[in-house]
Amino acid sequence: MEVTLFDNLRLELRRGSLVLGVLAALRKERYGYTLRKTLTEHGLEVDESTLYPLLRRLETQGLLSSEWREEDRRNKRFYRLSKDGKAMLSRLLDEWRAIGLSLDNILGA
Amino acid sequence: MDLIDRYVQRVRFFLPKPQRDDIARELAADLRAEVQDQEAALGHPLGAGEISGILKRWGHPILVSGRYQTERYLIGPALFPVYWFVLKLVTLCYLLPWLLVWIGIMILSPDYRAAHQGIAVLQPLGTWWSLVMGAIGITTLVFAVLERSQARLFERWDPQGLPAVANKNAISRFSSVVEVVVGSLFVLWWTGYLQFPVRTGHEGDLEVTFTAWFAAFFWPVLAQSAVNVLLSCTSLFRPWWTIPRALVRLGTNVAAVVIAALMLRAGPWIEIRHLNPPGAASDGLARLANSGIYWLFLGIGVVSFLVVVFEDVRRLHRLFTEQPSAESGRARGDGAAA
Repeated sequence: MEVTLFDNLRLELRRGSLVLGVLAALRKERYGYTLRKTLTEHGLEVDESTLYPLLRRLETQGLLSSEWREEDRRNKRFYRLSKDGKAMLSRLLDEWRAIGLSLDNILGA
Repeated sequence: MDLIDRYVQRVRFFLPKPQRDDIARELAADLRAEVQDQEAALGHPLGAGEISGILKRWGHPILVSGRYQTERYLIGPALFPVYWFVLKLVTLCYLLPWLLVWIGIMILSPDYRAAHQGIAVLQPLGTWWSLVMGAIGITTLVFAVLERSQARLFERWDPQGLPAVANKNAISRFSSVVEVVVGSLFVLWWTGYLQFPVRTGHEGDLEVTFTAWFAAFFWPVLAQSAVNVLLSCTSLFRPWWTIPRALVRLGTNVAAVVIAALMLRAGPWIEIRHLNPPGAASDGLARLANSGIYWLFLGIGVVSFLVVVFEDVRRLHRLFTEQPSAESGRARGDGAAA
C-alpha cells in the first residue's frame, strides 16, 4: 500500500516535469522513439501511451513543430521545439528553479 | 511485422477521426523503428513473442487511442457527489420502500399469495425493475443536462444565500409546535374531554369500547404524554437541547416503549357491539380491529426503540462529549440551562 501511495505521488510529481523534459529534449530534432530513448537514458522514463498524445498536444499548442521525413529508408515524424516553445521552455525553467528554491527555503526553515 | 499492423489497426479504430491516419502512420513507423533497433542490438530478427512484449509495453489499443481523446464524461467530478447522493435518496425513499411493501404484502397477505400462484408471484418485480431503470435513467439524464449547463449553474450563486451553519443541538420550532398540538389533542382525548368515534362513540350501528384492563394504562399513558407536551412547550421557547431535557426525552421515549410492550401482552384492547339489536357482540370485526391494533403497537414499539431511543442516546452522548464553542453559545443565548 505504501509503495502504491509513493508511486501515485511520484507520478503526480513527475507529470508536470515531463512536459519540461520533452520540451528540453526537443531543442534537438527527434522522432518519437528516439525521444523516448533519450528521456529514459536521462532518467525520465515515460510510457508510449503518454508520450505520443503529449507530443500531439504540445504541437497543437504551438510549442512544437513536426514534419514527416525519410531516415534509414523509413518515413518518420520528426519533432522540434518551435519559437514559441523555446520561449515557453525558458519561462518554465525559471519557474522550475523558483519552485526548487522555495522548497529549499522551506526545508531549510 | 504482421502483429504491428494488427496492433496499429486496432488503435486506429478508436482514434479521433481527423488525425486517425496520421497518428496510426506515426505509431507504426516508430514501432518498426524500435523493432529494427532491437534487432540490430540482438543481431537477429525479433520473433512474435518479442514483438508481443514490445506491444504489451505500449499498452492496450483502447488505452493508447483513449489518450488522444479529449476528456469527456456524462457527469463530471464536480456534480458526481450530488448525483450519487440523489441516487441513494431515490433508492432509499422510493425504490426500497416499494420493494419492502411488496415483500410485506407477499408474506402477510394469504389472499395475495392465492391470487399469484407460482412464478406469477414475481410479476411485480418486473414493474419494480422498470421503476429502477426509469428512476436511474431520469436522474442520470437530469444530471447530464446539468453537467452541460454547469458553467452557468455555478456562476449564479450568492454567498449570502448559503444555509446557516447546522447546529445539531437546535430544535426545530415547527416540530415543537406539531408535538404540542398533537400531544395536547391526545391528552384531551385520553382524559375524555374530546370525543372521537373510537373512544366510546357510535360508528354506524356499532359501539366501540375499550376492554376493562385498559384503565390500568390510563395514568402511565397520561403521565408520559403530559410530560412530552410540557417538554415540547419548553422547546418551543428555548429551541436547543440541554442535557436535562435530553434525559427527560429519553425517559419519556423509553416509557413509551415499555408501555407499548405491556399493551402488546395485555390485548384484546377493544370490544365491538351491535346497537341494532343492542348487545350482540361482533367478534369477527373485533378480532380484525385488535389484530390491527397489535401491529400498530408492535410498529410503534419497534420504531420507538430502533429510531427514537437510538437518536436520544446519540444526542445525549453528543451533549456529554462536545466542547462548548462560541458559536453554540451564541446560538442558544448564553446562560440558558434548562
